[in-house]
Amino acid sequence: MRWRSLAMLSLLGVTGCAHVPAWERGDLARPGMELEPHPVQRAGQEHVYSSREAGSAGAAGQGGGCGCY
Amino acid sequence: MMAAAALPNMVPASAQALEVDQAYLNYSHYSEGGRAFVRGPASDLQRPDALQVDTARGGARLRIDDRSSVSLDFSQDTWSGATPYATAPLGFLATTTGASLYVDSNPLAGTALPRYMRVDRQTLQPIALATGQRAPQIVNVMTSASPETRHQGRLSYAREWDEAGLDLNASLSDEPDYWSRSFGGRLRLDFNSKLTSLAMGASTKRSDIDARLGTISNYIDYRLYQNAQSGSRIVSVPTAGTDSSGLATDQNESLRWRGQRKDVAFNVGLTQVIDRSTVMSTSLSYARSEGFLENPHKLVALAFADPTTPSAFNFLRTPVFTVPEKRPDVRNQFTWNLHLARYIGRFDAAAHIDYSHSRDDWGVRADTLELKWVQTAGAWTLTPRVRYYTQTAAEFYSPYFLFVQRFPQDSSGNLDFSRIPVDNWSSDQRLSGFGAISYGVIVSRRVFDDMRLDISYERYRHAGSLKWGGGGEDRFADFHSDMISVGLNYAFGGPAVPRPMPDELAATDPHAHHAHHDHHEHNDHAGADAPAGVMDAHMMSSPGAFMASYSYRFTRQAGHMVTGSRRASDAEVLASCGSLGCPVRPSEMVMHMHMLHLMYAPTADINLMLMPHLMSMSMKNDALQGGFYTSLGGHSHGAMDLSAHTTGGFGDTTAAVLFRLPAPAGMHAHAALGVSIPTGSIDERMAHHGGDLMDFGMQTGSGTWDLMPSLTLAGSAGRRSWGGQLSAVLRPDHRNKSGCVLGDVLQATGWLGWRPSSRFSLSVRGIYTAQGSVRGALKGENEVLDAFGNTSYVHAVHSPADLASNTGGRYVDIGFGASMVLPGREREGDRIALEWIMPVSEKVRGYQLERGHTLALNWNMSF
Repeated sequence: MRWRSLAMLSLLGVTGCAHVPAWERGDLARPGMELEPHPVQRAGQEHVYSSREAGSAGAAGQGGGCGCY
Repeated sequence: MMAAAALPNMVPASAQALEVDQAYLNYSHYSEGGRAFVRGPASDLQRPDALQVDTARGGARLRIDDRSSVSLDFSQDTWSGATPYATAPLGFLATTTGASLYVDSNPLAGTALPRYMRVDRQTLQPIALATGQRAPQIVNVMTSASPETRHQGRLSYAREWDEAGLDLNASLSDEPDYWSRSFGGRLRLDFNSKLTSLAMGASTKRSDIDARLGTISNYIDYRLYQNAQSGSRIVSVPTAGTDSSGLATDQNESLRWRGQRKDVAFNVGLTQVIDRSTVMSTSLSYARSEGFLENPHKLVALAFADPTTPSAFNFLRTPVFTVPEKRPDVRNQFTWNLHLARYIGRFDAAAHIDYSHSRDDWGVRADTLELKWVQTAGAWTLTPRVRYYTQTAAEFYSPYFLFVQRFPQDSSGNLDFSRIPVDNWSSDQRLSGFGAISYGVIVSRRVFDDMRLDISYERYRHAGSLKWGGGGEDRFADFHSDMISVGLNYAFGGPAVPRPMPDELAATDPHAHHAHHDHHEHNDHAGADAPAGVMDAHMMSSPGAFMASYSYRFTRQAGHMVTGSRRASDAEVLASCGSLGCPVRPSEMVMHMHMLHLMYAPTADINLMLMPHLMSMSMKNDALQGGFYTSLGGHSHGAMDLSAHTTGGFGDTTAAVLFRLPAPAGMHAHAALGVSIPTGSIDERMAHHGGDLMDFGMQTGSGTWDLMPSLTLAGSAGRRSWGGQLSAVLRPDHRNKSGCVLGDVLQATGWLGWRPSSRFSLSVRGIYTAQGSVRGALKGENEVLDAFGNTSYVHAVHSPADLASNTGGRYVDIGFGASMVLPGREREGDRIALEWIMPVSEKVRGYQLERGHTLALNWNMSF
C-alpha cells in the first residue's frame, strides 16, 4: 500500500511540472545543484555506511579482511 | 543557452562520476571510538586500540573526443585496530592469563572434559562460574587485526549523444581475504527538451573469499563448514609457522574459510526538472546476493540450557558452543530513493533532501533521510549536512542464542548442527536494530584557476537507542566514528579562459600573470626529463609557481635468500639467527607506496617541497628446515601461522629546501636539503602472533629525524638530455623508541635521455646504492636477566629479517624510463613518467631475501 502511494506521488510530481525553457535553466546549472556536488567525498562516506549498515546497497558486513571496514 | 548545454551533467553517469577533463587526489582518515570495554575476568586485559583506517584515492576522467571519455579511479585503504568478533553474556566468558577474553565453550567431544556454563533456573540469566553471581551483561569479545590493505581500481568509458548517455565500467578489489571484480553499465535517455531523463543500470559482481581463521582453536566448533558438501567450506591448509612446541613446520594446520559470492543489481531512475530552480530524482533498485554471505570473522555463541538438570540445583547446566555465523545463501533487497534539489536565489545556495527506504528478505528494513545545504560564497563553498539512518534487525540476529533444551548430539557426542532449532544465526551488530546520526561539513575553496581544495569532516554515531520506534540493540553495540578528508580536484581544461590566451586580453586578466609563469616554467623546468624514480630532480624557476605531483612505487622481492652475492642454504640462514633460532625466512615481500609532492617557489632560486606518503607492505614466509621459535618472557603462543603478514599506513614525511647552484650554459644544478619527519609507524606488530614487532622493513617509518641532502646536475641539447644525482639519507639520532636506527643510505645515479618526439622521451639510468646496516636491535617486551644481573628487553625472532646483522648492502641497478607530456598541457610541461628498475648486482650483509624489480610512476601538474 505504501509503495503504491509513493509511486502515485512520484508520478503526480512529474506530470505536474512546468515547462522550463532552455534560457531559464541557469539556476539548475549552478554549482551545488548537481545531484551529488561532492562525488569523491561521497564515495568515502558511502564506503563507511556500506561497511556499517545492512540497509545500504550491497552491504551487510562485506569486505575487510578482519570484517571491520 | 549555456545552461541548457550543461543540463546533462546534472545527471551523472554514476554517483562517483567526474566531469570530463578532471582529476582528483584525496586522503581520508577514519577512526572509531566509544565502544564499551569490559575486562570481566581478564583483570590485566588492556583496552585494545580502536579501528583506524587511512584511505588514499585518486582518479581522472580524460576526454577521448567531443563525445566520449574514459576514467580511471584507484583507492587504497589500510586498516588496523580492534573490532568485535563475538558477543556473549559476561557469565559465559573466560580468560587465560595475560590474554584476551574468549567464550568459554564446550570443546569437541573427546578433546577435553565437557565444561558447562550455568543459567538461573527461573530467569535464565547466565551465572558466572567463578562467583556464582548472575552476570547477564552482554560484552564484546574484541580481536585486533594487524594492518591490512585493500586496493581497488575502476575503469569506465562514457559516451554522450544529443539525448542519451552511456557509461560502461569494470572494477577490481583486492584485499588479503577478499577478491572481487565487477562490471556495470548505465544508459540514460533524455526526453521533453531534456527536462526529463530516464536511466537504467545493471551491474554484476563476483567475489572470492579466502579468509584466514588462524590455527585450530579448542574453543571454536568449525565442523558445520568443515563437513559442508556444498557452498562455502572451512579447509585446513598447511602453512609455514611453528607447531605447539615452537618447532618450525611447513605443515602447520591453518584454517581457511573459502567460498564464492555473486551479486547482481538493477536500477531504474527518473530525473525531472520541476521548475526553473528545482530538480527531482527518484530511483528503484533491486539487488540480489547469493553464495558466501557470512562475515567470516564473526562468531556466535549457541547456548543450550538443559531442563533435565537435577532440581536440587538452582541453575540449569548450559553447554555453550562458539561457532561461525550462518546466514541464508540468498538475499534480495529493494531500495527506493527520492532526491530533491532546489536552488535558493536569496542565499545563492542549493538545498538537497534525500530519502531512501530499503527492505530485504532477511527482515532488515532501513530508512535514511539526509539534508544538505550547499552554500557558495565567492571562491568558497560550504556544505553542511546531516543524515539519519535507522534499521530493524535481521530475523536471525541475536547477541547470543539461548535454547532451553538438551543440546542436540550426534553419534560422536558433538553438537548436531542439523537439529539446532534455528536455521541461521548471526551476532554481527551490523544486522542488529539500531539508528545512526551523522553530521559534517565539506569546505571547498578554489585555489589557482583550475584547482579546488576540499576539506571535510564527518562524525557518525551508531546507537541502539537511536532506532526509530525503539527496541534497538543494547548499549554494548554503540560506537562512534570520525572521518576527516583532504582532497584536491583539478580541471585540466581550465576555466572558461581559452588557451592560448591573446596577449591583449592577458594584460587585463588577473590570471594572466600566472599563465605566463607557466609558460616560462616549461622552458626552464629543470630536471623535467629526469626518470620517474629520481627524487628531488625537479626545480621551478618562477617565483610563485606551484607544482603538485603524485608518485607511485611498486617493489616486489621474491625468491632465494642470499648472502654477499651468492645464494644461501637454509642451514646457513638458520645459523645466522643465533641461539634464539628462527622458524621462518621471507619468501616474498611486496610494497606499494603513494607519494604526494607539493612544491612551491618563493623565489627563482629557492623551492620548498613537502612530501607525505602512504604505504602498504605484505610479506610471505617459508618454514626454515630445522628452525625453531624461542618463546621469550615465558609467554607461549602455541602453534603459530607465520606464513604471511601485512602492514601499512602513513610513512615518514619529507620537507626539503632546494637551492639553485651556478651551472654552465645549457646545464642546471641544484642542491636539496631535506628532513625526514618521523610521521610513520615503528610499532607495527603481528597481531595474531603474540604481538611481536614486525621486522624493520615492515615498519612504515624510521622513527628518527633524518637528513636527506642531494646534489643534482642536469643538461640537455636538442633531443638529448643527461643528468646525475648524489643523494644520502643520514640518521644522526642515536635510537628510535624501538631501540634501533635504520642504516644510512648513499646513492649515486646517472641517466641519459632521448626525445623521439616533442611529446615522448626515453631514458636509461644506472644506480649505485650503499645501504648501511641497522644499528641497535628491535627492543621487545620480553624481560631477560643476563649473567651480570642486568635486565634487557629482547625481541623474539621469527625470521632472519628481524636481526640488524641481516640488513644493509651495496647494490647496482639499471632503470629504463619513458615519459609523455599530457595532451593539452604542453605549455605547462605536465607529464606522466614511468620507470622500471631492475637489479644488476648486489652484495648484501648477512642473510637477506634477494632483491626484485621496482616500478616507479610519476605524474606532475604545474599551476
